[in-house]
Amino acid sequence: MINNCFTVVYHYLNERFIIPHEWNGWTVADMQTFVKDEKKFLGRKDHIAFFRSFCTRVDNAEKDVIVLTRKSVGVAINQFTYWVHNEDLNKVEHKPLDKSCLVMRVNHG
Amino acid sequence: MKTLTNTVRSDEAFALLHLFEFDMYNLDNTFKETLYFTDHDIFVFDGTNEYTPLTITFDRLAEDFSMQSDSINLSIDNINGALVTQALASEWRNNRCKVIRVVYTPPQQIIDGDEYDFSVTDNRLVEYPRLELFDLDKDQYTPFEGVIDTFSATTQALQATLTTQFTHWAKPYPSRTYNQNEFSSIVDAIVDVVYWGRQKTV
Repeated sequence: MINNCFTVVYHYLNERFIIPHEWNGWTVADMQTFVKDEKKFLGRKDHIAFFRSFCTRVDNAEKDVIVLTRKSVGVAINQFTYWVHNEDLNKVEHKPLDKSCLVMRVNHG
Repeated sequence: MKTLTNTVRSDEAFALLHLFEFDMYNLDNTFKETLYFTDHDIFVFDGTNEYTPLTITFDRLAEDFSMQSDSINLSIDNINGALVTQALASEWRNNRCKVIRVVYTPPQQIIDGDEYDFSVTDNRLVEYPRLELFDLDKDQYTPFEGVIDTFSATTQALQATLTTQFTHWAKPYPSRTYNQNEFSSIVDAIVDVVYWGRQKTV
């Protein structure tokens, strides 16, 4: 099974929050399809639309809020940094939060 | 108080990192939070607090016994303005700051079948890389504890001047308690009996 930043964050959130298992005709079973066609999904900003369907945008980051950029999905560690899975290195790394980051909190915990 | 034991010096290899603590107060002078930073590459957890890795540099960390208020200049990565946003929403100045130095021996670790004598000690207790400091042989002491005197910032960095707590010796009465022009006689009376933080006897 191949992981990317989306699948890692999805599994992380799924253990902690009530999040949808299907969206816009897509189901969890299609996860590997998503990984394979990642560029297409990211290009269409499907990852942002997916999280927007069950999250609310917030101004300030805190632990466990979702951090979205144009090309990745991560989870905030605190108000300054977030972690994201790096597919090239196949490991999680931390990054400073950027003004371009879209920060969202899950509606139903 | 610096108490350096032989805990890590008995071993040839050791690593060094610094931990920084800054107390933040709301503008109404109530305590808000303590910010925890480190100059290490990854997050550091000491069993109680988690220190966020940031680019932090300071110009010197000398120790002496002179009766003067010593100070150091600190530069912190502003994280695209996030730190300044925090600084402007609360009060840094005149509040406690602390620099802790940790000397430790990185333990052995096996990564992908290869054994490393001195590793990064990431125990995978959280999703992101983190140094679990509480598990390690280490010496820890505080080379500097004082208050944040002044700070300035650019988008890239936040500069602060930290002054030791000796600075309070030059403040025998609380600042802003009296208007010094209006109550000059009161101020004179206080100054008359207080000298460098102690009662003036001679």
